[in-house]
Amino acid sequence: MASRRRFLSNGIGSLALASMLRDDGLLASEPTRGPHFAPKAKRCIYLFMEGGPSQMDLFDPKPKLNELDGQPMPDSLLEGVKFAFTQKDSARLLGSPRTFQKYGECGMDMSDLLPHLSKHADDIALIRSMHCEQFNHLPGQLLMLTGTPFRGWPTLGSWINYGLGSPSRDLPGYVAMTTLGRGLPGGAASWSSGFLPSNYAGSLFRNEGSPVLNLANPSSISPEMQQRTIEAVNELNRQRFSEVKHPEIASRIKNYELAYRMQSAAPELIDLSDEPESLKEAYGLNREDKTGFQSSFARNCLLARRLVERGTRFVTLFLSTWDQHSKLDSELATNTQISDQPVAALLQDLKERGLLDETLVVWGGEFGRTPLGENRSGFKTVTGRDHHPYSFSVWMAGGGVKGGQTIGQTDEIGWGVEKDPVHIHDLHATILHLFGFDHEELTYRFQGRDFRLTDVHGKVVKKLLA
Amino acid sequence: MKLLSTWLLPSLLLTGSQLIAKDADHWAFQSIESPAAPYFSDRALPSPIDAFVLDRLQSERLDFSPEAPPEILYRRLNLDLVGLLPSPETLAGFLEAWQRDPDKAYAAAVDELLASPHFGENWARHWLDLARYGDSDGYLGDTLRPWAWVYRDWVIEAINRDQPFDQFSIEQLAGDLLPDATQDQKIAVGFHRNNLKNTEAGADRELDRTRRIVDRIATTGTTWLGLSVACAECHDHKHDPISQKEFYQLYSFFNNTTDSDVSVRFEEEWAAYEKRRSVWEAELTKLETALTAYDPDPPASEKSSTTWTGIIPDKVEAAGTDLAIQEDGSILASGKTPSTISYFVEAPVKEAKTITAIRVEALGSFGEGREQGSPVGRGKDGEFVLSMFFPDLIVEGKARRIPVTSASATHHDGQDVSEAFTSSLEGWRVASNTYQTQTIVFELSKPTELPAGSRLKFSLGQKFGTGNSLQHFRISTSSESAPFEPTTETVDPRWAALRLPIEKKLANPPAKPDSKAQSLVEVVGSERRNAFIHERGDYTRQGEQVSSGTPAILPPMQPAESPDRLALARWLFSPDHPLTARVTVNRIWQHLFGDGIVRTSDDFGTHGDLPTHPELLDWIASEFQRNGWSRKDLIRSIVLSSTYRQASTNTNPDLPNSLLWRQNSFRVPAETVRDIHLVASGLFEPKIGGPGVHPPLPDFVAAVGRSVKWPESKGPDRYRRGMYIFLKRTVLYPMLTAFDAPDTSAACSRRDKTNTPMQALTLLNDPVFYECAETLGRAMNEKHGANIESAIDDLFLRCLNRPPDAGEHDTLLSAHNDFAGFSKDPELAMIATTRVVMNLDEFVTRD
Repeated sequence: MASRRRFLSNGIGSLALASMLRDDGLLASEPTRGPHFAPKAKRCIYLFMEGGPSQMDLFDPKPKLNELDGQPMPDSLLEGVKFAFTQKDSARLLGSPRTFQKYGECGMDMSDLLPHLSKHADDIALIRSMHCEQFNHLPGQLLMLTGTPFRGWPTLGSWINYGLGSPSRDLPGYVAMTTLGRGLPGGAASWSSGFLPSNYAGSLFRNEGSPVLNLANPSSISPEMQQRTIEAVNELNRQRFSEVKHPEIASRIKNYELAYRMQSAAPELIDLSDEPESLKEAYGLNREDKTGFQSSFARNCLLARRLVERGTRFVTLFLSTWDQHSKLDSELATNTQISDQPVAALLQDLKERGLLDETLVVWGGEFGRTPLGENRSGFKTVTGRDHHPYSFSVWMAGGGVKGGQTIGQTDEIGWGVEKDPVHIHDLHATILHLFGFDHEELTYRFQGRDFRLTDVHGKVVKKLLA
Repeated sequence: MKLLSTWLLPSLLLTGSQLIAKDADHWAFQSIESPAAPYFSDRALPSPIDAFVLDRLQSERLDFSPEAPPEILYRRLNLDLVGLLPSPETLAGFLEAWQRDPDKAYAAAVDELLASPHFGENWARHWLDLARYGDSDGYLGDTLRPWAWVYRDWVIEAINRDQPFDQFSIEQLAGDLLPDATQDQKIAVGFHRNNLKNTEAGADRELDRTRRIVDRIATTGTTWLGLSVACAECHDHKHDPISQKEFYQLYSFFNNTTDSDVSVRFEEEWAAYEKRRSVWEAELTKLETALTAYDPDPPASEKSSTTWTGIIPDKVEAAGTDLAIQEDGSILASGKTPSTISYFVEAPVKEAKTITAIRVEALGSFGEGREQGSPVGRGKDGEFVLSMFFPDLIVEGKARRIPVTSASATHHDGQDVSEAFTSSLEGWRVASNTYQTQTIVFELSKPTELPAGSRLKFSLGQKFGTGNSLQHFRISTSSESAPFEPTTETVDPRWAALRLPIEKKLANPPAKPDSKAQSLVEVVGSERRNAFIHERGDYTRQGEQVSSGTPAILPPMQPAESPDRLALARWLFSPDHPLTARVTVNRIWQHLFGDGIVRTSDDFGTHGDLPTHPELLDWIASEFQRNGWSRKDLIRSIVLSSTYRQASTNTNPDLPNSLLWRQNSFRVPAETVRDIHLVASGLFEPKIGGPGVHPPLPDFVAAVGRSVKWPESKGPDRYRRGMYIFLKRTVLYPMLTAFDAPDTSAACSRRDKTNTPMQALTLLNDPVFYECAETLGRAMNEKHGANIESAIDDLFLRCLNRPPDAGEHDTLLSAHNDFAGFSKDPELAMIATTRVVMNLDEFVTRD
């Protein structure tokens, strides 16, 4: 064990290490299911933009909407539509003040708020035709994260770990990190394993201090005492095992060894001293900001790369919140100020390390925002947009996704989807496909029923596949 | 699940009745027989249970394992029945009795544990998994449920008094509908209040209502029928004979059931209140006596020397508060108390006159006897601030400010009262608990003529905040010349000083208990809804209308005109019902063996596991019914059996244990992991019931939900059982989650029993567990000093309830020596040694 710690601290590439030590069962004792066909994606970094980013101010330019700024919407479009807060009768269309340009060889539209990401247009598959039916945050987020708007179901990361296991011997297969303004509506449900066994749940990591709960030894216990403790525990467990022969004891022994390894691997993970300054600069790690959100999110992006590099199967980074009911212009700029540079740097970094091909990067929220300005009662002026599940934008890159393309089209004011609709279930089916699964076959029996991520829906979006 | 695509086709080909015909043979739908136990002429078996199990074992040429050693048996009984560890003293008592007569000692231990109040806690915890108990709504906001625990405590109490399971169930499904429903029955029906509720602003309320009903059907199905009824929500059940229509017939039972919080009276709480009340009365009487001894009558008042004429307002206005003009022209504020406020008062000028000063009286009065007086302001303790006072003269619709030059007041609480006409937050401030009328006089810059027919308007602003506004006030004017003294009616200060504490007492009587419980009631009259099939489970797509009814595959209900929830609950316990008794005894068996006789304790349908011992299951189920559904009798009969009392040693690792040739060994449930640490360390606080507690939680865990508050518990509440940890659904207690406590989103019939490195980290480093090791280690060091060998024996006894063998002893001693060498601190070395024992697999395992 001690030699292994030296091995790590000598800085030998952890990827090589992970493959040398490839393990069958991740940090979990459950057997894994294995893919149905060869996966293109081996790992995923899901950038979850909580709150509903405004698509027509970032990815989906709508000149007609700008033209109609201040006009009412045709009644026909509003029939049967539900809003969280907007009062239908007096709502007016709200144009976007952003300027758009075409980027990359593919000529992908992006707004002036995305100066860094736009350099990666040719890596990205932009889906402008996402849609769902959930117009409130938590049901929407649960739908995006678990495939249902209800609590109690496993998140995508749990499904993928359940299906594939994790090659990491020292770190959890599923990690969540947060940069939170107002907190997450679902709290720990956002990385829950639902009805899957709890070893498939995401582990919440901090990006400083002791990254995992209970990772650090109690303050009076020195490292040598901890090591001796685990030796003694395992020795006594072995004696017990030889006596009573319960296989759970063997798992317990293995898990104490894994826990001990994690105690050195996790602090090593968040120790960025071996990363070059230029890279930290590229991620924007040292940007000064009052709230600390900029550096926190940048750090999380860099840690996401370090995690997947060390074998973690699924990383979710939450950035909260994009919920701009008012002050859209300034707050959206704040969000992109926080996230544009680190996200672009992450893509670049993955690419340079040859990881992007097998790392799926997904960027998106739970829904988009209305082309209508939000005139919630009590608002003096209209400066924001309400929740809009009928069309929104999500992008993906790497991991077997065909970059440099824009999929789908919304109508001229950006209300509904006109071409190639992609429901959240379709997105999930496609992600599972990239990981080598037929989404109809990856099931888990609970309360007498075989459940799957896509419930009874979902079709793979072939256009997305490389 | 092969879903619609594969299911739709066959269902189109088969009619409902054919479906039923196909599945009618399924074992679980057959009525429960009471089979005779196999007879063994050559073996004395303590229980018919053993005859069934042995018969099956012998058919495979197997036999029982030997009985477990007494200390293991006793530990097993303690963990299974009360979920706690025995103390070394009770263990010693048991072993002593065992020496005299093993069977008698064992039976006595069983009875003692069944009678322990902790029995109800342990078995309530199992039940609460089915009830998906939580202390918050779940979803965004995750609103707290301050009274959820009242239901939880009812479960504990009902199990402790061994309420027959049929009554226990009927009260939870339909307690509100029982004739003359008691308080307990209304609390019990809170079972179905425990499910998630989405209160997010703008959420689809009808969707949430339907989801909650679907959950109630699913939970009822899992809990009593052992069927995945909710699979038929969107289409006919794929493999069990329940049609979509039948699902909505069940749905109809709950379609007119609505949330209702009921007031409950806890005698203990009222006794405490009565006690506080009598102390309060005594204190009040003492104060009254002092006043009476001085002067019982309110003193006469002095009058001001200046002549003041009260205005007679005809218009008063304030946003958020009610202002009323009194007969004497004064103005009384009532209703809500906004933090800040402006009062506007207008009065007509009937005859022309010239005024020189304006007076505002903040009217207060002492009460008489037990009647409370009224303080001058609306602040929490009767204080007020008048931040702004602006008089205007309105002539022919045009308002003109009347300039003020100075102000003086009877009482000013250290403030410069002139701020009252120079616009600031402060101004005229009168301290709390002032019951005497106070006045402020504003001297005008120059005498001001008021023409007949003009109007006076006064703006009285309170910008200070916290609701410190005037309560009752009067405005007057004077035409005399300066100086103006802000005199007021004064009372004898000595009398006032004696009356004031009485007023304070009267203002703060002990609060009456106001406990509530989450209950359900039935909607009556025209508000009742009809139930429809929801096409593909979408509530907006109404299909055929349905009425309440139960699935045709099961025995029919008692005929009734309009069967209600009570009829549904009673139907579950009809003598010929094939499922309820089987499902219930199977789940109890599961808690005593780690696995049920039907391993899928949540699914007795055609895709569930078959029973390993079908005749045994039926025999126990029929006994359960015959014995009046007594949970304790059932548990007693199982734990007294030889089957239960076998050793768990896995002498044949290649042989699965579904036939029960040994006891099972399994890791204890999450809450028990915590509880046994607390018990072994001596930190355990055994208090039963009451609101949930908040043991320490790291900020970064507590902060992930929205608007999360985790008010850390102090004192003994930190050491309560795991089942009392406040169950906030967006911030589940990480230690419990790590050991597979369910997330309470749905009924949980069987917990996972995972084994993970996160559990290892938790057992090693969780501050609570370290504190336990520290406490026990210190105690061992104090008790045994340098005698490490006896400390090791003691540790084993406390944590594992058995002495160490030689190998274990040596291993631990050698570790201890190393710890002592590393730390040079005997106490720390003993703590580290204790920590080793508390991290052993055996410590968290029930063998």
